[in-house]
Amino acid sequence: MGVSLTEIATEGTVAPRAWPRLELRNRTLRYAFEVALLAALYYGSAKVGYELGFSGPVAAIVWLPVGVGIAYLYLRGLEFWPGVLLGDLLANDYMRLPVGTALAQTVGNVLEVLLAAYLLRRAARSGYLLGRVDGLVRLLPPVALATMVSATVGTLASRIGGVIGSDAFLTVWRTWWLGDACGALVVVPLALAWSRPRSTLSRARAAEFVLMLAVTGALTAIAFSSPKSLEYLAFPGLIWAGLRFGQRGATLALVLVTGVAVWDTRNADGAFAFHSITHSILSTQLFIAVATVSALCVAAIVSERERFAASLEESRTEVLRAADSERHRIERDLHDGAQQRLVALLIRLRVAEDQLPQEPGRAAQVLSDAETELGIALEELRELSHGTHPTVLTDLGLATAIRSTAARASQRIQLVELPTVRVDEAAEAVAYYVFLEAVTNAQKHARNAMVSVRVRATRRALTIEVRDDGPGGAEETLGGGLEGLRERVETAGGMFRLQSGEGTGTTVTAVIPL
Amino acid sequence: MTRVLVVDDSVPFLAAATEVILAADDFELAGVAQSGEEGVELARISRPDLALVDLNMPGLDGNETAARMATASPETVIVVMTATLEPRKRLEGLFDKRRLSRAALAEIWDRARVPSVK
Repeated sequence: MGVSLTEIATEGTVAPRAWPRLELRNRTLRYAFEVALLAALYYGSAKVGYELGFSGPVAAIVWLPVGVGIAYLYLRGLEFWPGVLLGDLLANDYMRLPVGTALAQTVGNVLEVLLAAYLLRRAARSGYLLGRVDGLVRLLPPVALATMVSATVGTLASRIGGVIGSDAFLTVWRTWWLGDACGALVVVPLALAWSRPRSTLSRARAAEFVLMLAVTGALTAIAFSSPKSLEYLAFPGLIWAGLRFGQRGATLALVLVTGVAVWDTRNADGAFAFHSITHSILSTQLFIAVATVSALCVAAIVSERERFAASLEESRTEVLRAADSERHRIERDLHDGAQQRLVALLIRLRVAEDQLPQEPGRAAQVLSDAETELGIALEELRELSHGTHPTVLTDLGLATAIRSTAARASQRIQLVELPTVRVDEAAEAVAYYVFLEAVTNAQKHARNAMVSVRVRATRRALTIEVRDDGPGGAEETLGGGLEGLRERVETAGGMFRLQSGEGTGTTVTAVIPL
Repeated sequence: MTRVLVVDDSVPFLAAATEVILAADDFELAGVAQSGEEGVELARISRPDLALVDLNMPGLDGNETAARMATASPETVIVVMTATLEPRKRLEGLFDKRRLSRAALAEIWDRARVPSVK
């Protein structure tokens, strides 16, 4: 054939060859930079983590690097994992621990971060995790599971390396797991919330934000510097943050609360300074976990409420708009239909009046025509009023309303299937409207066609299908009857379909949820 | 004989207007059109003396139709009419469709032939 491979290969590539190579180098540089950045962040947070521990690396109350690693890989991509490896190699205590133990711990830590980031990315496919309670529920298992991996690998390696005794195994595992989980729970939501596009706060709101942080910090400081059990004092601050400032406020307040709690526990004063260090650590860790989950829940519920309010407002506008367009339709129908006919009638009667003295025979003919016109005008008015206020429908139900309308219609209507039970009144009204409009359309465009009607009610939906064997070719026009029909069905949350090929008749189908 | 073209999207009105014109002695029907486009075309071909054009029509409305018709057939006297119930519209110099009769037709035609004062 005519086209050679070279032609295909060069087609559309106008840029000089140096470009892609330069880009690649940039990309490699960029990757190296990000890996180094992640390593530095990981290392830095590990240093803070050691500060927040008691003695030795395994006793961190809140192990921040795991959260930093997960957040980075989650937001920027799993391919930056070498940053975690590098950071952990730098941070882990290779001087004091046996090399095998330290190496195994590092492997466990890297695996933990990768696994959590991978699972969270999967979980986040169905939407922003912090914005809804079920998103939050999907966030927790990956964090819990991945941190268990690190705790298990790390504790086993420490035991095998002889760093800890067999009696301490469970305590170390638990502390490790909760420390990592707390680190992830504090840092990951913070990163998630603050990496989203932000809306600017007004001056007053910004002032309230600062006040909220100050009050939360003060309450937590009081709670944790008192020897009495006052730790619950932190919660009003956290609730304030969640209610008024959503995920951003909650996550920042949590960092503050966590910082104060850990600091005071480490300095061995405050509510959680028990005689046993492990008891203190456990209490603080559980406090952090509970506080985090509670505050995030509050923020998620607030987000949900705001979304519901917005969608409610939206559907309210939609309903108003539908009602408005319905009113316009009635006005139009009145103007184009009955009113025009009545005007014509008036003129005809005047002709008859003029002719009566000289040509009584013709006048009689005109009067008889006028009578016919009047009958049609009355019928149109009746149809219109039925379309807007179907009393038969509300009193006797959809099947009866359709039967009675069909009986007095000029069109041939075959009722193939009608429901035997009554369903939701609003759904019946929509279905009846579909029936009326479809039959009216058939009367206009397919006067001799046979119309067949099929209505089926299941527990979930009311389905109506109106088919005619007329010429077809019907289209939805802006402001036309069919568009009005679609609007009405879709406002009720239903599905509307028009099939009308040339020469194959017209079928209108509506499925209205119950 | 005065030849009249009627343009209206309402078939009942066209039928009634036809009756009036047929019954009037000095008038005859030049044609009826169901849309503005069709009306302009008919005016170009049949060159009526008088055209009655409805204001509210889908597609070309009465004013637009009248403007085009004035170009297509400059001698035709064009009267835009409406059946709207709003009294304000009637003040805008539109003919009220409901008033159509043999007498009204003659009146329109007489007034149209009186030379303008301006």
